[in-house]
Amino acid sequence: MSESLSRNSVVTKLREQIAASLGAEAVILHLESGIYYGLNEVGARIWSLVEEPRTVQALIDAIVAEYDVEPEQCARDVETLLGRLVEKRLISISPPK
Amino acid sequence: MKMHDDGGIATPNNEGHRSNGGATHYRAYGITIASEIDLPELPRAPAGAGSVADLTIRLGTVDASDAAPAAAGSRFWIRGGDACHAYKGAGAFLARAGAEIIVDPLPGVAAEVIRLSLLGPVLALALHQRGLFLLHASAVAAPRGTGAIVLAGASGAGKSTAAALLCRNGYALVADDVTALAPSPAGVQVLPGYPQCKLWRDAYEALGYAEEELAPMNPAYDKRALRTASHFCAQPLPLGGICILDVGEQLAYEAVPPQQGFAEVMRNWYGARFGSGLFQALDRELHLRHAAAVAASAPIVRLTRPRLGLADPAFGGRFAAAIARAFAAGRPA
Repeated sequence: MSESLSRNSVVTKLREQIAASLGAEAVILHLESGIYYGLNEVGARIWSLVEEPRTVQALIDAIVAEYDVEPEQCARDVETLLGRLVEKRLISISPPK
Repeated sequence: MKMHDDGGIATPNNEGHRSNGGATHYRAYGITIASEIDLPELPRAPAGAGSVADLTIRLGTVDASDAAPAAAGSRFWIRGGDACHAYKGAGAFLARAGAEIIVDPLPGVAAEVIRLSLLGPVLALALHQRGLFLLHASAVAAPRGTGAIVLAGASGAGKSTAAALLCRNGYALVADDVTALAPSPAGVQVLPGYPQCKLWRDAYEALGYAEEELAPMNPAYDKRALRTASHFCAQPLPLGGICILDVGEQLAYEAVPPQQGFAEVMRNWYGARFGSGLFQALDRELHLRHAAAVAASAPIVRLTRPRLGLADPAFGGRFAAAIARAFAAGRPA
C-alpha cells in the first residue's frame, strides 16, 4: 500500500468482477483476466462491507468492532488487503473529497 | 413416432443404430429421455409417466467440420444453444438447448461405441445446457442416509473403482464418471445417473469379476461395464460430501479447507474436457455461484489409498469405514 493512502480515502468495488460466498469465506472472479481470488473470513467481511463505498477508516473500525484484534494490527492488515485488491483491479481507492 | 427428413436417417449405416421403430422412454439424471437409439444401460421410464420427454435423442446429420480439438481425440464447437461434440472413431453429436441430441455415427461403428460418447460427454453437455453443475466424478449413496458422497480425483485415482468397491460394502451407486448436481437455495442435490460403472481390467479383476460378467464397451480400451442395477440409488439425494481420491502410502484422509475445496470443484468440473470452448461460452456468474454452493454445502475430504489396496480382501471394508468416518461429522455449520 502506498504511503499516500489516507484513512479518509474511499474504497469502491470495480465492476469487472463477480463474487460468491464460500461459507464464511468468499471467492472473486476477475472477469477480464479469468482469475479467481480467495478471501478469508475477515477479507470476505471487508468485501461485503464495500458493497457500499466506504472510507478506509470505516472498514478498520468495523473490523476492530467485530473481531478480537488490536487497532494498529487491524489497520495494517486492512491496508495490506486493500493494496492487494487494488493491485488485482478488484477495487479502487479514491482520495477524500 | 415423429417423421424426420434428415438425409442421415435412411442410410444403411444409421439403420443399425435404430431401435425397433418408435422412441423408447428412459430415466437418467432426473429427466425422461425419449430415444430412437436403444440404450440398454438406462432404466426404462415407468409406464404412463414417460409420455412427455425432457430430452429427445434421434439420428440425423451433424456438421462437425468447424470443431476445435478438445480432450482425448474429441473435437468441440458451441454456438448459442447448440454444442457439438465429435469423437474420433465414433461420430458427431449435437446437443441442442438441453432438449435434443442428434447423433450422426461414422459408418460401421458398433452401437456400444456410440453409446459410450452419447451417455458420457454428450449427455453431460445436454445436462449442462439444462442448468446442472457437472463434475467429472462418480457418486455413491451412504448406507445410513447421510446423502450422496461424490468421488472425484485425477484420471487414474480410482473414482469408478472406489464406487464399485463401495457398492460391495453397503453403498449404492448414484452415478459413474459424470455426476450431475442441482444447486438450489435449499441445498445441493445429487441426481441419480444410471446403474453402470466403467472399470479397467486390473480393477475389475482385483474386485473379483470375470470378464464375461461385465458388458463390452469400446474394444479399443481394456475396459468393461459393470451393471449395478441391484446396488443403485434411483432417488436424488442431498450432497453429503466430496471425496478427492489420491494414491498414497496408506489409507488416510484430511479435511480440505474452503478455498482449496472451491479449487477442487473447479478443477473437477466436467466441462473442462471440452477444451476452453464450453467455459468461454457459459454464464460466469451462475457457474461461480454453483461451484461455490457445491464447495460450501458439504465437507470436502482428501483421501489417499495405497495403490495395491484392492488386492487385499479386507481392504473394501476398511475403505468403506474410512469414508463413513471422514463424512460422519456431516454438513458444516
